Amino acid sequence: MKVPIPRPGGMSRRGLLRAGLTASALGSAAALGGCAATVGPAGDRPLVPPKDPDENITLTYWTWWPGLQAVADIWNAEHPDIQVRAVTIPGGLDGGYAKMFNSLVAGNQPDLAQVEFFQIPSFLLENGLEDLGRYGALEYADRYDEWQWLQASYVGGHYGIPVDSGPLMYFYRADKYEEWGLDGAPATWEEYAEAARRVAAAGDGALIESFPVGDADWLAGMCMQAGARWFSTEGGEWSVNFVDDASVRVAEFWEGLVREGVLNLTHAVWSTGWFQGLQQGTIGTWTVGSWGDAIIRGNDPDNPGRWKVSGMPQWDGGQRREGTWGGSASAVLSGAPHPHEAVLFANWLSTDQRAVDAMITECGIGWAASEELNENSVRNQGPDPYFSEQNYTSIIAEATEHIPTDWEWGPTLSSTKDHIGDAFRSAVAEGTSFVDALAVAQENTVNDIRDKGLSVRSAS
Amino acid sequence: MTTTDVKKGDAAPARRRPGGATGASTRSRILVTAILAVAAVYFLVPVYWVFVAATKTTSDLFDSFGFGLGEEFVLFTNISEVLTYNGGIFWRWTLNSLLYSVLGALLATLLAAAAGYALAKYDFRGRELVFGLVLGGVLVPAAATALPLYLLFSQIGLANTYWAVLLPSLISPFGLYLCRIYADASVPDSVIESARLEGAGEGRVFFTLGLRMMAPALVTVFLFQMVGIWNNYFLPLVMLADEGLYPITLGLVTWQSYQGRDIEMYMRVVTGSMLSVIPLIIAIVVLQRYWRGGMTAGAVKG
Repeated sequence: MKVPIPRPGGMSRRGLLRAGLTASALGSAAALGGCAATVGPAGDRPLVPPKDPDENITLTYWTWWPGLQAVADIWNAEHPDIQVRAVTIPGGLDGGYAKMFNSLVAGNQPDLAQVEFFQIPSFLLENGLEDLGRYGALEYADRYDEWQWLQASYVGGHYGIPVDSGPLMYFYRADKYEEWGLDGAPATWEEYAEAARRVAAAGDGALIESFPVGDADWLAGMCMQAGARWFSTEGGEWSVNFVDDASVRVAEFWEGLVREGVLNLTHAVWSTGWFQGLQQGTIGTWTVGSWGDAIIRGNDPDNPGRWKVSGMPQWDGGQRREGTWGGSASAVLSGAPHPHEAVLFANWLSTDQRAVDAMITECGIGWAASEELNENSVRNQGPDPYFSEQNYTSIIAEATEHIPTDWEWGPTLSSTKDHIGDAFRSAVAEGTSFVDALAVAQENTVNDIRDKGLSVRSAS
Repeated sequence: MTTTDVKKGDAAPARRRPGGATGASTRSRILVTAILAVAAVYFLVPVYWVFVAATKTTSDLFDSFGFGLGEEFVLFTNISEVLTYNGGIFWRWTLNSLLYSVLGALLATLLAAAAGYALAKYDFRGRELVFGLVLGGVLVPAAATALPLYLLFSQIGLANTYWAVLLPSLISPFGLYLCRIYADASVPDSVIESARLEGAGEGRVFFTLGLRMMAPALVTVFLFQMVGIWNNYFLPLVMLADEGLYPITLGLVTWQSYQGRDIEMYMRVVTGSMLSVIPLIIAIVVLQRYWRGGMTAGAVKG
């Protein structure tokens, strides 16, 4: 079953995602420019007809991948009447999303924009995205892996065509693991904790991994893997639950390891010291989205055979579960003039094998939209010398079969990320409880959502 | 002149009188120099880092001491990589930055000079009100006006054009303020009067006499405005949606956003940053003579 169905609850899109418009950017649009006419709730707007057969149009696509134009040129060569122009803008939280919101207010919106999965509800809150289901997108649903497709489905609408995503993977220095007497990647988190202690005791100054203090994407992936659902929409309101059993388990686990001092807290992930630690083997592991392979290779290109990749350590002996980190979709901003054609192009971009291959070589994308596309891609060349002759693609493909499909993001995610970052940084610095940090982040998030005029409750 | 001399003569012995006073002044001079030295180090160290980092390979960037050279010296490879990446778009960004900042700063300086001169030298009703409003403008951060400007420019169809960045850059409330103060102090009314008596029109008085006498202040205004426009990020971010119009700041951030996917981007961003400060260094070095002269002149007259 790959066709998305409306989620249970039967609540109106309006109640969940649209409220307090006067307080929002679009409210001020109406006041400032009177140009909000095109920006109503997606379902209320009149359908935009497809273009005339002999009309020539140009679609603009805002992306943060400098190489996307080269991919679009493959399409352009075959579609003289629908030309696509890619414009490189700063990444979403570096200013890209602010720019998109501004363009909605001013009525200069592009036809397509690259939007990360976590940001989709934030756009819906401002009525910023077209429901692509109204423009034929659902016909293509079976070409996508369900866990990716559903990341763009909310309350009965479908708001994005998945481009790539990042199954959470366990990258480790196989050569160092051997020195430390570890038998490959840990199969369970219990084994991971044991391994962390053993590495710390080895006395060569190495530690198993840098703890990503305050990294909300990482934490969300970990909790997703443990079975948490931070956000859900039930009975007409948002339900926020950062402290369910699974999240508490994750928080307590990492708090224990941090207190024991068996994780690296000196070299933050992405710092130069951390890159150096990965090169030298003083940091032995990185749990990250599958896209991390490009960083690992690029950081130490001349030493193949040191690294291996594996699925995540598991919580119980029970059913295998994996998580994700990152991923983005092609979305159509509200009021854009050519939604039909935009959906055609977006679907081509995500599912044409030539486009996927070009995105891998030109844009360095992570995991493409379906298992099949990845397995047939240029990246899949059998045993990979860099990853110790492992078949890198099939290891990820196997992991993706265990990614939950019920994860949803909240409507104020960029500030939620800040809340989590602040709470965990101070918990680590002051030695307070990680579970309390989750509770604080939850409370702040609930307040944010309520301030947007939406109904919301804490689930626990 | 004579009065000044007398004052100096008086002051000097007076300061020497209490025992150890000279020592104190030497000490305070050392202190001031030390503070300035610390400030200089504080400002120069990041610049130094950027220059050193731009000579390294990606793996050296992470694996070698930050303030020393790496194993390989690849500055020129890095520079050519920056200049050729993505069809050589960095050149385009450089030209755009130069256009925005040099042309914008020149016109802004001219406008500030004319307005400041008018406020200083002409008596008209509402003069102080205008000046007060402009002073208020100094307090409004440029970022706060970017969004309203964007909506305005979108309505008149100028968003996403060169004008969108150029026009807002022409206004410098601080420059106008400085020009008024400076014109007050350095353009004597008597000179203007005699020029008028010679039959010069108001425009000619301003362009031939006023501008020249205000030159040191104009250099200051020009430099401030140029650096401000060169470093501006938010206005172009909001206004522009076409890489071909981007200034370097915005362009480099788009590259930086891509670092997570392509680790080579670190080197391009670092080297690009290094290249992007060079025009500013040149401008400051060339213009600082006038600038220093200007500041002192203003201080004495004031």
